[in-house]
Amino acid sequence: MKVLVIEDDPTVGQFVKRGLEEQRWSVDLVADGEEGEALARSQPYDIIVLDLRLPGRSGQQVLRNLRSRGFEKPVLVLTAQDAVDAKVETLRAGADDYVTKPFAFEELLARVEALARRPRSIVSPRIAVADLVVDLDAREVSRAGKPVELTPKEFLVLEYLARHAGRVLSRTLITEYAWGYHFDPGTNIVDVVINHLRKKIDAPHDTKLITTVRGVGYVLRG
Amino acid sequence: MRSIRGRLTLAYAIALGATLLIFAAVMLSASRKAAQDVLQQRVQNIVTLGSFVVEQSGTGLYESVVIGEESNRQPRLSASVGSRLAALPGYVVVADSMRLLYASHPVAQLGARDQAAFLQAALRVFTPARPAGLITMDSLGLKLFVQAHFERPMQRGPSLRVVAAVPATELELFNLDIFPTILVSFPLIFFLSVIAAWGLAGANLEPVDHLIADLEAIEDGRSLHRRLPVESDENELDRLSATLNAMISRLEGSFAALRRFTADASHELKTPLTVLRADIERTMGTPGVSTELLQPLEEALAETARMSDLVDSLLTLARADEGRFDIHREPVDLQAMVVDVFETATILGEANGVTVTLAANEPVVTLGDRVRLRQLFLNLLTNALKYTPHDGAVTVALERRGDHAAFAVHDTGQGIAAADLPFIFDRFWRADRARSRGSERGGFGLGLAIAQWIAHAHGGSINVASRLGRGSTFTVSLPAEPAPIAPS
Repeated sequence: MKVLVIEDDPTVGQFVKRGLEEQRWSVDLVADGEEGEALARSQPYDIIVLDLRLPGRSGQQVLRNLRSRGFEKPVLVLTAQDAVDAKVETLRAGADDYVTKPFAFEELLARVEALARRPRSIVSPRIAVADLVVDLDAREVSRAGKPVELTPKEFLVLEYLARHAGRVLSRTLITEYAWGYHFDPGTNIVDVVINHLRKKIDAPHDTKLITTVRGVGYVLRG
Repeated sequence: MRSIRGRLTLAYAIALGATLLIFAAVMLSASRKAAQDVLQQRVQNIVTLGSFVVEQSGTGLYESVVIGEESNRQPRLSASVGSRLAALPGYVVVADSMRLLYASHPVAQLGARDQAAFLQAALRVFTPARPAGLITMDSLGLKLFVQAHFERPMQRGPSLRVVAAVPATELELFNLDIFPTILVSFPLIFFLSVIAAWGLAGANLEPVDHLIADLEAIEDGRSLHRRLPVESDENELDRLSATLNAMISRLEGSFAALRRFTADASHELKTPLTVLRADIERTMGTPGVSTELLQPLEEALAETARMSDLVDSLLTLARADEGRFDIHREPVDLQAMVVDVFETATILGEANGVTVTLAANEPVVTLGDRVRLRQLFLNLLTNALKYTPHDGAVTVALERRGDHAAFAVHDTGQGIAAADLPFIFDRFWRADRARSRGSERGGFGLGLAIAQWIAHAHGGSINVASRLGRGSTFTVSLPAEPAPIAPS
């Protein structure tokens, strides 16, 4: 699936581009509004990620031009406005959704995939790590064939760890994934959930899948 | 009577009342003086007549009666003089320096005590220096106006006094001619004038009411473009309006500057944070990155996230200052949201050794911003857990109360001092840093300020009841969508 990213900041642009490519998206990155508009009209993209503040032609102008010429593909807007303004303004300008800066990549990915109606995981809705199976569609978990009952937050934390099995995920990333991006619990809420997960998933088995990385976070390893 | 209208009317009523009273007093006094003059003239006439009779009689005044010894000679008024004196009306007494010579019929009719008092007064009290005055007659229940006249009819005879008195009822307040007029007309004048004053004060203050209404319409940043009408610059109120208009203009300028700043700050603060965050996330995601590198990256990421939160909160509050409450609204199932936040609260409670219970969770739907409402609930929950000591309890309840949803968080924490209660929703306010858990970093002190803004933006309210040492209850009230009709 193809995505066009119109973002003038090279760091942010590259970050989005590389992140989406890791998720097997084909990504075109342009830094200029006018160029982006031309590209959007000539190429068959599935979705456009558009920064609202662009040099030359503003993102809002690009969006209005595209919509007035019958462009129907979903547009996800990146905005530095605060959430309340962004919602009202971007939806009025014809965007389908928005992500406020600064954003976590997971948040952007979730919005892009939702808008493009791409299944959350194109390969398989089931993730297997050793004998642990996480079914993303049914939201079910089993280890060694035995189903494990998880609360919603436990499932979200495990899902995130399983999606990035083998990679160390920091507490901040896990918190943001499971609790959203404007929540500062003031305490290590992730540790409590990991304890629950260990009791339910690792305790009955010899092979421990969840490993603590001191000072950073956790990793799920098969 | 706190209103200016009331006070003006009251002041007017007092002034008018005093004027009327003084006027009435002057009128009555003048009327009494006139009545007294008439009375005096009448009594003077009687005395003059009496004196004339006595004078005319000359040596025939006395008729000598010899009773026994020469020395007991009792001079008596001759009968002809007596009969002439009897023709005079009122109380008439004739006496020489030694004894009473004549008393008219009304005097003889007086009660013994009054008669004695009258004679005493007539013969002793009234002297050539003080020939007239009033005396009170108890048995008659009235005052007499008395006039005495002294003369010496015979060359070497005794000095005679002729005293006459008439009832002084005309001098009584209630008998004065003008009294009924005053009694009826003055209260009427007072009453009508006060009503007129009330109306007049109201009419004069009406422009002030308009001014207040106009000013009240300028309630937030969006209505600052409005101005008060100014018709001329002569009227005090128009000058006030012009002054207020100038002030509103300056306010409008400040708000515009704030709005520009908010927009600029959004961009200028968030763009570097976005770059920073992208760099950190990208580096963290590099395959084979070492733990030694991940630790500082995680710290940087956590700080970036905190900073983003702070910027977002400050911008949100800047908007709130402007009075802009335009939020995205969609139906939000609060019951489901409470299930979600309750799980988080339970986890937080476990980390802090606090029992969290869900006392009630009724089905309620509100129109609002899902993300903001969740933030509101979580802010209250994290706040409650932060200030509840180990082994404490936090109770969460969502109830439908009429056309409102009530979300309540009760804790058994240390409570809030009554003196602190008015300030807890102020930004950056924290009761006592020592009270929050020492081992953890507190928030920015913006949580409750944001919570209040969210509640207000949704047309709701947030209340707190707290007792020091007993705990606190925060209650959010939100307008609820009508309940679905239960299937029968």
